[in-house]
Amino acid sequence: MTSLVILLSFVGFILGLSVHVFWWRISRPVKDVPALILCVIGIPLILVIVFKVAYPTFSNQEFLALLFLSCLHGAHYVTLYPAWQAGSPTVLVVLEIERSGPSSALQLEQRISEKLVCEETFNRLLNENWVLKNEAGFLLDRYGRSLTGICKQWRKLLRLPDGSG
Amino acid sequence: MITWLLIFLFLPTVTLTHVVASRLSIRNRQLFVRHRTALQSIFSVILSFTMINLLYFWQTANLWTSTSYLLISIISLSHIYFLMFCNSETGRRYFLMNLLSKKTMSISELREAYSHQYIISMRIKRLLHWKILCEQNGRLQLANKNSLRFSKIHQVWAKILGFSWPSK
Repeated sequence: MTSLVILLSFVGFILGLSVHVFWWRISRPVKDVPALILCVIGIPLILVIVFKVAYPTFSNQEFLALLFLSCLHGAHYVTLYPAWQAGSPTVLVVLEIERSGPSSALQLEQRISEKLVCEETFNRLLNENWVLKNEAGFLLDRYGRSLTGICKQWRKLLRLPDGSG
Repeated sequence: MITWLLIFLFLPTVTLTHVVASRLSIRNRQLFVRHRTALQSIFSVILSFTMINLLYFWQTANLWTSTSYLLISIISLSHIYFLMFCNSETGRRYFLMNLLSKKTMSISELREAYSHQYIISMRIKRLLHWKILCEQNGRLQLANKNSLRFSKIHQVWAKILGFSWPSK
């Protein structure tokens, strides 16, 4: 394993990230998570394969190490992305206090819009097909049920109650 | 080979350590204790795996590159694990999905179960506990600048990506 592997993994990731920033600034895709995966995991993987073809002396072990690290950088960014996408309420509270000075809890509730905190998060769940709508109301989709099931089992294993939201 | 083995064993080991620590923790009903337990489990595994790698490659040419590779990989995996854990604790998406996994709900039922006021008041409570905010004469103000810096970085990156919330 050489330091070239580590360096190349970051170069690939930064190139993928640049494509992501340009794409988002030009026109953000409606289904943004698959597009994001394509940018920050797909592009670096293609570059790694191209590099291996161009430099056959690059050993298979180094190739696999580079492949793994490139995927990991991308996966890491994908897990961070919802915090930027959704406008975390914690960040909004801190920024609001910085903007308008010392405030009461009631003033903060009034200033931070409900649309931003609740509606947009819920709309994204609908857009990304985690939640479905029928005549009776809203329910979880198959993927949503599977993900919630895994999280519930994990928390049960940790012997923890449901999260407080 | 040992570096690969350590990387692939990392998440199962962290999960196992976290499960044991969480079950042994007496006060794990408190959110702050739960976060601390998760972080302690993660750091103990990072430390022990790094030590194993260092001892294995001691006085070999591969010592620094293999240790750097291991550290970058396991710190990344740790952060992913911790983010997932935090999402299951306090994330809005997970909370809404958990509500809907119990029964089908209308929009008014959802609003009642997870209101805007509840979301903001929970965040204020946590920020006060973490001493990021302090209360003086019934007014909340920032108690430390680090969280503001973190929030600003957050806001700048969201602006770069063209999201609308930073300007609202």
